[in-house]
Amino acid sequence: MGLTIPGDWFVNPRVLDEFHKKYGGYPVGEIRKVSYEQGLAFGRSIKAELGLRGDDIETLAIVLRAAMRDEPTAKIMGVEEGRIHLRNSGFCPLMTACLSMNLPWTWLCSVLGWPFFHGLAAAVNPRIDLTMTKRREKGDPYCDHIFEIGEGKLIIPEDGTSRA
Amino acid sequence: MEPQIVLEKMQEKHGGDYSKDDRALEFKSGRVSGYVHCETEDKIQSYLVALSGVDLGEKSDSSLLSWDKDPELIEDLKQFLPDNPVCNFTLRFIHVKNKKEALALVQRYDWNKRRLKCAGIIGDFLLFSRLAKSGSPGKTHSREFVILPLEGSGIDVNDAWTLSFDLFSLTILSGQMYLLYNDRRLMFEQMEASETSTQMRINEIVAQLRRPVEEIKPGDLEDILKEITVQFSRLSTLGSTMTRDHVKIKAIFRSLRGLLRGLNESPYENYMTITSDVIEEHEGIIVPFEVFIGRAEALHSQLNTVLDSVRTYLGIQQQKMSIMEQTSSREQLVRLVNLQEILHKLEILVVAFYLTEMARIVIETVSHENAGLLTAAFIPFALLISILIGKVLHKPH
Repeated sequence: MGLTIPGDWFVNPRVLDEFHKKYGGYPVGEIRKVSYEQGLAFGRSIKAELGLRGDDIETLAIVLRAAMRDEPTAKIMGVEEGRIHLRNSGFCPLMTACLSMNLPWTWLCSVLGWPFFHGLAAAVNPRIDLTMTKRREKGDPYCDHIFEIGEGKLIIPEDGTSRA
Repeated sequence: MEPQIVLEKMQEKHGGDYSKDDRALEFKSGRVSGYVHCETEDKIQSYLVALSGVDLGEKSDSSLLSWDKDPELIEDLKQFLPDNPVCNFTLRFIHVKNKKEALALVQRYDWNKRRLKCAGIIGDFLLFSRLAKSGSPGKTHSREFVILPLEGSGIDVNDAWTLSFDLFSLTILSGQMYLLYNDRRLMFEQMEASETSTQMRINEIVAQLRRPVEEIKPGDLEDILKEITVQFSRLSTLGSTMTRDHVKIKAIFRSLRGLLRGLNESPYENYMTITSDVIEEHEGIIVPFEVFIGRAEALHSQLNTVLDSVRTYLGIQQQKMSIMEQTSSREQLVRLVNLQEILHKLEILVVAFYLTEMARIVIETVSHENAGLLTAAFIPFALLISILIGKVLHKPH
């Protein structure tokens, strides 16, 4: 049976608990791939809905704003010089679920959160890099996502890893 | 590693026998006698490891030099125990000839900058203690005890075991509290930033609601309601988790206080008692739970205020709409009445015209030559008759 990611994980923390129980031992790369695909499909549907055709950073900003419309904790702080700065603060759904149910925060962000955003960006331009410059699961007060045109990588600086 | 496996591995290396319930191992390694006891509660493992370099009845060496480094055997046994324990209490029973020697030892210990913060008398023992390391994130919370027999009377083995097990129970309770604290540490750390960000968003919403009524669309209110519902749900999830853990930690703290009360400690000179020091320390780790709950409640009430504002706003909008509806229906009624009056007048004219035409037919038959004149003369009568007919027909029932 294929891996499925619950569509309502960002509103219902309980499903993340079930997700972890079910896929905690699953190969991380495969979960990331599904999550990336989910973000990609979501991004494409937003582009189609809004009739967007561009592949630049400004188009991605529109897609991100539309995607985050119902998410009060994520906010675009700035779009300038070919980069987008998206900040996640407040009571983010992953943080709420992890802290209240003792779920592995880093694992959930790395398999669900970051690949999803990376996929969302790839819907606009597959060469967009996503760099996580600040991470709350490491103790930072907020998560900072930097999107800029590059080689289409997901870069987690403190881990020293980057994934295509 | 399961406690049973830990004991098995220790036995493999040092030999020895299990106690009756298999939860303890007694062994002898050279001149050192060893005893390891384990307790498991709620998946938390606690170990009491006791070592003695002297045989029963023999007096120990009171040298302080060995205090600063653990004997080789302790280091060896540590390999079998879980890494990075939440809590680690060290008890050192020292034999002294008299009280003078005891105080000299303690003073030397203090000079070594390992200040013994508190002291007290429990049973026949004089205890000194200090918090070696606080339970900061990822670090073991450590406390040291130096235990001396009062008046140099020698160590009573049974009393020493009783005290050791009491302090072991204290370690377990302290460990449970620090474990809960460590589990929630990230929540405490994230509260500040999350609160600030939510507060900013609340201010933005309030500013949005302050705009003129005409500028706010029903869709905006729907979005605000949706957003507040999401915030409410997340805050409630975190708040309820914290409240649950606060209740748990308070219950453990009550047991810890009860245990300390049971030790019946008496103060020693001007030192703070160990009971006060331990209670003060553990009260300190309950505070962040209370602060978090308080802050979450404050945010909850602010979100409620925003919800009230949205409700009030909707109420005002509804009132306005109903006033507008009332005004509009009154105007419509006036228009209808006017139309009816016009119709009545038209009705009179139509009837009068009809009567005049009827009269003209009759007059032409009777007097053809004067028909025009007579018909014209009949018109006022026709109008009068028409008014009368109208009044009869529209007479209210």
